[in-house]
Amino acid sequence: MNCEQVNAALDLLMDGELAEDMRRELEAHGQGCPACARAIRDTLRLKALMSEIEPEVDVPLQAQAAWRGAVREAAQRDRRKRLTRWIGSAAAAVVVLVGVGLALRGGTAPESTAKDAMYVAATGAPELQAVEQEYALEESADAQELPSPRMAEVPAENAVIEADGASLLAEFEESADAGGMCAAVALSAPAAEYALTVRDVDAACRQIIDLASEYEGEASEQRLEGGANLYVTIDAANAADFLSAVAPLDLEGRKAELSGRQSGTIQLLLSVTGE
Amino acid sequence: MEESTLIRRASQGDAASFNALMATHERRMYAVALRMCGNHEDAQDCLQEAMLRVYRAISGFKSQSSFSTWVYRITMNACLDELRKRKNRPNTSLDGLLDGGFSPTDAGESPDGYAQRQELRRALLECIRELPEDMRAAVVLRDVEGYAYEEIAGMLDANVGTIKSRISRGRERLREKIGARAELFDRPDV
Repeated sequence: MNCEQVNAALDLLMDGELAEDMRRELEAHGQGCPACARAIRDTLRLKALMSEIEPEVDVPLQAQAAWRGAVREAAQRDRRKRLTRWIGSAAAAVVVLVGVGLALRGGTAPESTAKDAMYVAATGAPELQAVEQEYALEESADAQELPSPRMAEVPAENAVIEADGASLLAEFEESADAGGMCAAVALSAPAAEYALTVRDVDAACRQIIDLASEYEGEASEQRLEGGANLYVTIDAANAADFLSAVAPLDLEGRKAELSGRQSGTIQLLLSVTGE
Repeated sequence: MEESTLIRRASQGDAASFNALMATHERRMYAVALRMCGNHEDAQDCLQEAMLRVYRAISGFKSQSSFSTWVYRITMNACLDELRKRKNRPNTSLDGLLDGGFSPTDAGESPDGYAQRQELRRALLECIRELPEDMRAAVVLRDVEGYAYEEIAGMLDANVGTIKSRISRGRERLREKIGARAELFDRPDV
């Protein structure tokens, strides 16, 4: 092996594909060539250092929230564009229909035809109505405020809460700083419980609430001394994805497994504690 | 839910499916962005841009190719575009890089040993960051992310020979940089 061949051998060494006989040749060459010996040593060191760099990295929650927010905004813009296109198409269709109707009737439109045309102009084609309805529903959902970080204060007694049309019996836990009022609601028997230890409780709670919203769930927060309990109500089908999104927060101390057999709306309890 | 189902739903505008689909790729996408940019702030911007590009293009994704290769190709392009835009910006700190992304240290490691390893890692990341962008991209994808040469060629839109050459030259430069910092890398205790 000569010095020129050493470089190719070093690439094979980095790739972990250097055959044993070539390895021996490389070593033999290195013993008589200080420059190549140095290159071999640096390659081995480089390989060792590179292997310590993890191919995956925990994504900071801020970065997760940023890309999800950007995609959500893009989706909303797309819906608006789609609606605008439908309105344009429907308006053009109305103009053509009215024009054709007038032409066929010698320029005098009966009252009923004129009313029909006005009705179509006012309401749009059936497809347009469907899009408008979808848009209105989504806009309405968008317009809703994210779940408040703190639940509204309520009297410290059992109460019935309406959620998704169902009445849920809620147990109220008295908050130490609420002066006889409750600061949060705990629904009975969460499907799974998790514990997280974080540097910044406020930031972590905000991010978890955002993520719950991303996965079409709702989160309510119960403030505690040095931490908080987050009760996340979510569709069971989305729960695993939601938990994987929260996982970078160091989801540890699992108290109960999330069963794969769960279905419908379930509740998760995430206990967040400050470091 | 299977990836193909999520892709189909996402391409029909289902944001929840898109989020679930990309949640399985975001850690590696972010790692690529972090190694390319050298700081969390820029990596976050690149991740966001890459996600938007994937969202806009997913309806045109051809299922014959690997979705992950397609996603990392978009990620790498977003990083390279971002780096070109920011070429004249002063270098930012690498401090944030050591927050994560390295293998855990041995439990029995002394505080001094840990500090020295951290110093070495920081030096290596600086060396990688000093590589020209095309070399850096190829080296990161091969030696950090572990992709095959053919996959990297697909991601960087170059032929395999070109990629092998970039990686080889990139490694050679890294060896030279390591050699130039012999006082750090040659210490017997590291």
